[in-house]
Amino acid sequence: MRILLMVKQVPDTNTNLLDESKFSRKGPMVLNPQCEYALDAAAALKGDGRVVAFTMGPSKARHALFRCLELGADLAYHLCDSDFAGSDVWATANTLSKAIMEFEPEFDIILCGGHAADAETGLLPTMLAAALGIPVINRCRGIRYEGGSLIANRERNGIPSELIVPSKSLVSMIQGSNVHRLPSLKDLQDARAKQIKTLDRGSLGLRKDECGASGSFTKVDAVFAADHSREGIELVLDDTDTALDLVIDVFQGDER
Amino acid sequence: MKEESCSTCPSKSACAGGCERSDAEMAEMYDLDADTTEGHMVWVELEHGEGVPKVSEVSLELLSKAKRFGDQRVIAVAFGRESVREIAPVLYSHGADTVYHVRNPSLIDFHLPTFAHGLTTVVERVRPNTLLMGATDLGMELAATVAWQLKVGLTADCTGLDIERGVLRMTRPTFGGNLMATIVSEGRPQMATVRPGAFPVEEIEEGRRGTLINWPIKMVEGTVAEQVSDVDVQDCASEPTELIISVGAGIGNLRNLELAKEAAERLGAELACSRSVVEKGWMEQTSQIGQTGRSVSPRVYLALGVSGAAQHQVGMSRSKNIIAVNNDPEANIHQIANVSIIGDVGEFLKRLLERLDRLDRANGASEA
Repeated sequence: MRILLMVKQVPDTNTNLLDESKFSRKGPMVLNPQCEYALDAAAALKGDGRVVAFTMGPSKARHALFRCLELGADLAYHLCDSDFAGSDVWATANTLSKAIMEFEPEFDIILCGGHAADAETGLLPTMLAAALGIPVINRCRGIRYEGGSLIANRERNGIPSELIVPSKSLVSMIQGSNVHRLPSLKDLQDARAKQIKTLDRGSLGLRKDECGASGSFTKVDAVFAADHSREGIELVLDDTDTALDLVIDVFQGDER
Repeated sequence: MKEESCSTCPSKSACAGGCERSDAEMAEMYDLDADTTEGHMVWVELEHGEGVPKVSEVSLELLSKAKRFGDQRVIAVAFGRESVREIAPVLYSHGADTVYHVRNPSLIDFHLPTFAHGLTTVVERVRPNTLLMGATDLGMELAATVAWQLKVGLTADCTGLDIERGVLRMTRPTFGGNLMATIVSEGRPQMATVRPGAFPVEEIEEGRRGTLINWPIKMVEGTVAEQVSDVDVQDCASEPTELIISVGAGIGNLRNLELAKEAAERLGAELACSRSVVEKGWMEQTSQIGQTGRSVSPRVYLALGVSGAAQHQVGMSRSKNIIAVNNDPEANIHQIANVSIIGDVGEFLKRLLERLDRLDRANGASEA
């Protein structure tokens, strides 16, 4: 099975992302959690085949590719060019689809995470599939071989179903198993022999206005810290009666 | 009762067997407000079951919001068979001036290639200023595909929308919910998916009238995944939940979780949780509230041992009443709560259940 794996490096959301109320990319970066599910599924499905990982991002995004190479990918492409900076989802789908069509057009399946933990739009998988003109299965919680077919467990609108994955489709994962596997010493050694190929704008044949901020249709106009705080009443549990009266009143329809 | 028009043929009777005319042929014959380059268009998500389909809550929220923009006409686009006509009055009363009924006899289930094609043809005909849909599982797939085809920007998961001289300012939580970003789109239509519950339904005008337009389309050839086995057809979005009891890492142990379950059952509330509880394997991901889970806006949200990380707040901060129980007075959840109870969650649950017992006994006694 020839598998393409689309991954993203994101800030570790368990750490504080705000630095003087500005978003900071200085903190620790990790492979996006839902991409871990896709990586794991790719390794499980690979068999005698081959897994090729792609990422788009600044030079340190290579670390996300290292992790893929340690855990089952055979080759990686790093789409890295300052002209790619500021890409919105449309420009990202456009750039990734060009890389796939140019360098790995022969594949059986594309796997990726459903949502990125940073920007969190969840739109990329569907848009990339649209750009490639292939079917998409989102919200996948597991994928396996059975009776010669590839079966995906999808949960859409809260309804689970089992689907036969058509050949040459894109599957995005929102859940998986065996996440955050640790590579063995042998995995680490093997990964060293594997290659990361860097692709820039020129190698994809993209004009400057077809990628990055200038190839994007959306612009961020303002960014501000989220503030959900409310005026509230504070009670201690020692004052049990007041606390419970209040809770039950609110549940029964009293407004606070 | 309803004013209707169909561009395809002079017949005024319903086209029960579907229409064979092609989109292009129809677009050419079509002659209504040809110079209109404005309007707020809303994709209406329908829940198909027996009989007349049900309009999803988020679609009504968006029609109502689009009407409150107050600057341009509101166009609703609904897909499906003949029975979709029946819901037009609901769409008018919530703000739609025009309803496009995109129809084909085979059109029942969500079929992404056909829906994307159908919506794209309506957009190209109407040329609306904005195109809005719910940030639901289906809305996201449809929006992403249509945005690609139309070559326009798309902003996902908005919680705030403002219009200024035709420019849509779309605000959404980003980077783990710590930040809000306001985004503008180049090109038209300006596309956004909007979180269910982000805007209220207001000013329902019963009996308001509008125009129904038939828009027959052909099914688009396109591979979609086939189902291995049939599953029960259920409503595609469940009723909005009024009461939620949510547990976080501070629930501490499984015994307390059982108490929380019991309390939820007795108060008629849904039991939900934060991410850490899912990671522990104590509850299913489908119950998770927050950035990587669901977004809710119930009347009451009782947070038990939830620290209130920004990622969690994104999913519940629009709840009407937030009650937080946490023994850490510094926990973030207290800042967004209407009622903060500083105390142990296990203890709270024990006493709450005792209190409910007493209330039951009292009620039982008065009934007897």
